[in-house]
Amino acid sequence: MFSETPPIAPIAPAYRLRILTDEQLDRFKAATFEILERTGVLVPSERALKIYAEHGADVDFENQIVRLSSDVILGALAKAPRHYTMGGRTRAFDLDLSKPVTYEATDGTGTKTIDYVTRELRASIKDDVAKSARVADYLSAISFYWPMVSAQDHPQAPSLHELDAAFNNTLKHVQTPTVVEEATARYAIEMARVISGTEEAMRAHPPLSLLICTIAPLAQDEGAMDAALTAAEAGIPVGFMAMPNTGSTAPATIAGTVAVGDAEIVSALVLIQMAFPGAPVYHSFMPGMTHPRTGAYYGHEARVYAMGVELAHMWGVPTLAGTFGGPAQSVGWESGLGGDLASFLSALCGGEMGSGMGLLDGSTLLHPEALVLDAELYHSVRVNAAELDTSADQLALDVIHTVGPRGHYLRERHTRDYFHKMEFSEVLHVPDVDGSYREPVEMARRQTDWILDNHHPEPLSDSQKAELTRILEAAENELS
Amino acid sequence: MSDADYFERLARTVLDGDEEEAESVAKAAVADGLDALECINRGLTEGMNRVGELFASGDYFLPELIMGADAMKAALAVLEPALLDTQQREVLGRVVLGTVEGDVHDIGKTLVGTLLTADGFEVTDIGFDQPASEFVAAVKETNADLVGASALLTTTMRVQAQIIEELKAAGLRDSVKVMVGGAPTAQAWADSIGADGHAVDAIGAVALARLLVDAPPSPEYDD
Ligand code: B1M
Repeated sequence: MFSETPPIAPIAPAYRLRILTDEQLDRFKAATFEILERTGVLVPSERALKIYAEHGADVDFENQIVRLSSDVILGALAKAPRHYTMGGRTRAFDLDLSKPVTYEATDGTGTKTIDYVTRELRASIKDDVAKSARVADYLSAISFYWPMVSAQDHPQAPSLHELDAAFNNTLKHVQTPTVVEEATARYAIEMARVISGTEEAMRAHPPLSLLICTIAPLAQDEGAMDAALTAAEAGIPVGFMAMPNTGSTAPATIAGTVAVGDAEIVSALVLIQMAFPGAPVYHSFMPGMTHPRTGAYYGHEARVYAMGVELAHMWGVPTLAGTFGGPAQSVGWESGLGGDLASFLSALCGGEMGSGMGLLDGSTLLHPEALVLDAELYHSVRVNAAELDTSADQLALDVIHTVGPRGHYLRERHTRDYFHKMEFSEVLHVPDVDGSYREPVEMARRQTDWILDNHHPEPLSDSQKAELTRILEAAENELS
Repeated sequence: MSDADYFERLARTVLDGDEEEAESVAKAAVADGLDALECINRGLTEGMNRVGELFASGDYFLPELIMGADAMKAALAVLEPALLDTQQREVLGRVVLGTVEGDVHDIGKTLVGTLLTADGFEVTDIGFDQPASEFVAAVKETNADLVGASALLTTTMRVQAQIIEELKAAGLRDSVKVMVGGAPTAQAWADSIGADGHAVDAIGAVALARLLVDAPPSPEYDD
């Protein structure tokens, strides 16, 4: 017996916002052109260097530096699709990036877990991925799933075990930030093919996408770029995330940080379009701030992440915005800070995707209640962004005339019906027997426990499960 | 210019983080026949101590620390060759530091190196994505007292264990201490691979390094 996965509830903003003016965007575009033409990026991959060279880039093979003219950049990016679909296991969970909505995901990939049952703090394991995927599968706030923590109990091929746990426990699209070597990417693609059934189905509705980090400042990672190329060839969407750290791996200004990060991302997007024109790609700008005394990494103000959305659209590709996620070490006031604002601004700027729900401690700690609490913030964003219904029935003039001055609406059929149509939180403002409200964290814990006890999404078929297991075994043999 | 003026000017170049000025003052001091060891101890080290104090009190930030250390290095490059055969610059210990193979996360490692340098260690930073063999080669080359290995990925932590194994194989394990760090590592991990210590942050790394080379606790970070 399995339980239905509730439909996803993306943010559908009824109104829009611009953070950067056209002139500011032009300046950023010119900065990226100048950086890539003059200083260039370090690309320590022979395969990538050859592709760049064959498509008009100026390649210094000895120093592994690639320089790109604005013509070469624009020519390559013109081939990138502005929209495409990322597949769920069933069509109901597809993410159609051409729709004017924002889909959001969990955070990943942490390394520590507070155990769902014993509440002990320990290194993360595969079962944490399975459990968090099940919770994410149930929550309508989560449109797609990032494996939230590392499967450290499977050291031979942790990232593939994370995918196995994810595919087995959610019907939603899976995006991985830990498939960063060519060999691993090959196995991950095989797993995606098993989920889709056929090669054609996988290309039409890829159930998997990759997230590859560029290396600030101005470099790419050898293994990760090879993995990206392999995935792009198979039609698996690939995103490039720049994480320049203001003050350490980027200038100590926001504009300088944007300039470094955007140039890194663009250089990588160009490579993929040179190699596989039309391959689905996305842009992701996720900078951090360097603490000037400890060097520790923490988040910027919310608008910086929404600016990433506008940069992506300037280049004609979809975006993954950094929305939730922060340095708080436990759930409380600090853990609720900023995620909703970044999410709100990114959605209003037209972001297609966002990620970051459910981890604490700088995206390293899985906390049992955090996902449900972040989902709560997400829904408040969704409601605030949504169109207000001003139809006659909502204006309720009839009932206003009927009740007239003074009196009340509690005995009206209209009130009764609408109370039942309203969305009430199961976490906030839940009355206790003594008339006070229950602790939101306590309610989040109950909801999480309830999901884990009661929600069991439709399993994969036995043959799919067996295929995934076979792929894992083959991968472990090759990779160990 | 008096000797004391030279020492103060050298200290000032470190406080200002002015590499070029540090080199030129050092050259002038040598040309004027000053004792190079005194220039180091009463000029540069004094300057670095003051930088450390200002950092600890919150008046200086990381760039001042790094630029101060760079200025000191530039002046040392002039002064060390001018030391007499009988003289040797005092350092708390020699450290080989790097981020392990497969791992490009180097901000934390760089920070650890900066604070160790500011505290009086001689640090050889071998960079990131470095295999165990490079750590061992650098230990041999620099005659290091301490190896520091940073790993930020759960998939690269095992290289820290490999470094210890390769130090053993090279017959160096008894002459060098090993400390490990990086977000996914912990004391239990350090114990399990036979490392001599683990630190959670850069200030902890300085305290640990001092402990491992039998130096007294650092006055700046000791509250
Ligand atoms: C010798 O003795 C000692 C003693 C103490 C020592 C020590 C040594 N070394 C460190 N310490 C200690 O002292 C330091 C100072 O106080 C501290 O150092 P830290 O390094 O912890 O602190 C720094 C001052 C600031 N912290 C940081 O700089 C790290 C921050 C996070 C967000 C991070 C960053 C910035 C980056 N990343 Co990456 N990154 C994450 C990190 C998550 C996190 N919050 O830790 C982590 C580590 N990354 C991760 C991942 C997945 C990846 N990253 C990758 C890339 C990158 C960037 C290049 C974008 C960038 C690094 C840029 C650079 N030049 O260093 C990729 C891997 C690249 C590679 N081959 O290494 C990639 C695989 C992503 C991808 N899809 O491409 C995750 C690891 C998951 C895992 N299973 O281990 C991760 C936890 C983020 C996440 N939640 O997904 C202490 O740990």
